Amino acid sequence: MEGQATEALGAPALLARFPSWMAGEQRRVFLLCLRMVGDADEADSAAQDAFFKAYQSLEKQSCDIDDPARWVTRIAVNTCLDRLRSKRWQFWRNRPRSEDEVTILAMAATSEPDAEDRLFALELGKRLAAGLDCLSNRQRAVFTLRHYEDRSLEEIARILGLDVGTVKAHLNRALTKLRRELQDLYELSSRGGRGKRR
Amino acid sequence: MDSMRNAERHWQYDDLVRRLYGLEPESGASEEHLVECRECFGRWEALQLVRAEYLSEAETSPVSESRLVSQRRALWARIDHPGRFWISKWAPVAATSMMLAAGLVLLHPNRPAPAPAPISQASQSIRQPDAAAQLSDSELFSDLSAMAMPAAPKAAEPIRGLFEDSGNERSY
Repeated sequence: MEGQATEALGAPALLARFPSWMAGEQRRVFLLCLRMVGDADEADSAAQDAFFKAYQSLEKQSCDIDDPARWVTRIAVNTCLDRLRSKRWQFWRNRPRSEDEVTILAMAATSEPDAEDRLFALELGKRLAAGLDCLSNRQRAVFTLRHYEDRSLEEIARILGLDVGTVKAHLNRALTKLRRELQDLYELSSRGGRGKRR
Repeated sequence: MDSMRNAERHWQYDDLVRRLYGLEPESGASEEHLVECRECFGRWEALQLVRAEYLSEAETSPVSESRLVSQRRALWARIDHPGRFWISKWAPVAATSMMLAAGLVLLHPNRPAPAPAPISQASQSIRQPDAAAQLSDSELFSDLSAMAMPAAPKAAEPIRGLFEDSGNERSY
């Protein structure tokens, strides 16, 4: 994945190159937050919180950080989980706003100029985003990291501080809930061209 | 027998998706079958292709540069002046609660005066005769008024009387 530095870095070294490191990770972290919380403004705040916490943490500690990308992903996921927990009380914000839906849907848009392909991708993205709402916070975090970021189950376990068995259980439930959306995404997509399935 | 049956069993779509995400098949389909069966292997390869395509698209998802720039600007402002961030975050909350408090005060301007102290308490507060000699006139007056003041307001006396009567009836 883009911007994922895997080398271990000392906290002072990372702090010294914080602006450039953040610029490299920012887009990925923002997209992760957006997929987790489903609201662009909320994702803005979550991404900002994550980098702010990372900066504060770097100022305090001096030990090495094994994988800065994974480290900031962990901070971002936990920030999103906190926000999702507090969001439960904000019943009026349960559905993403229309402009956020457009942003989320644009993520699924194909680069191909075919209008039918685009429509299909948009529709799938919409259904998948709606399907994410049916998942619990943990299931959502596991699915997002696996589906969009293509992280291994072991890596997800390390990011979320869970054991691999628990991650598998969450993923299993998420796949069961999103069965139809994934079926359309993979089965229909694998049958010839994208635009020819509807 | 079971292993033979599994070896013959084709991979279902759900199981292929589960495998794509790193989970074991639910139906017990075997890995050997997937390698040996051309049909299943073809479906598996097609699925992997779609997944790779999807991931590359997800990676290049558009995010406006202006959004990222304003996000960075806000972050640096927060790092440089952390206090200002909290003020801006809590100022609306503080303003709203102050407005609510002011509204409550304005809605109930004439609160009833606190009830006078009961006679028993008032009499306890009366000083001893030798100490009374040292009291000023105003202190003496307030002590006497506290003694004369009934525990309940005058207007409540008829109601109180009703309760006392009913108590008597019950005792009969």
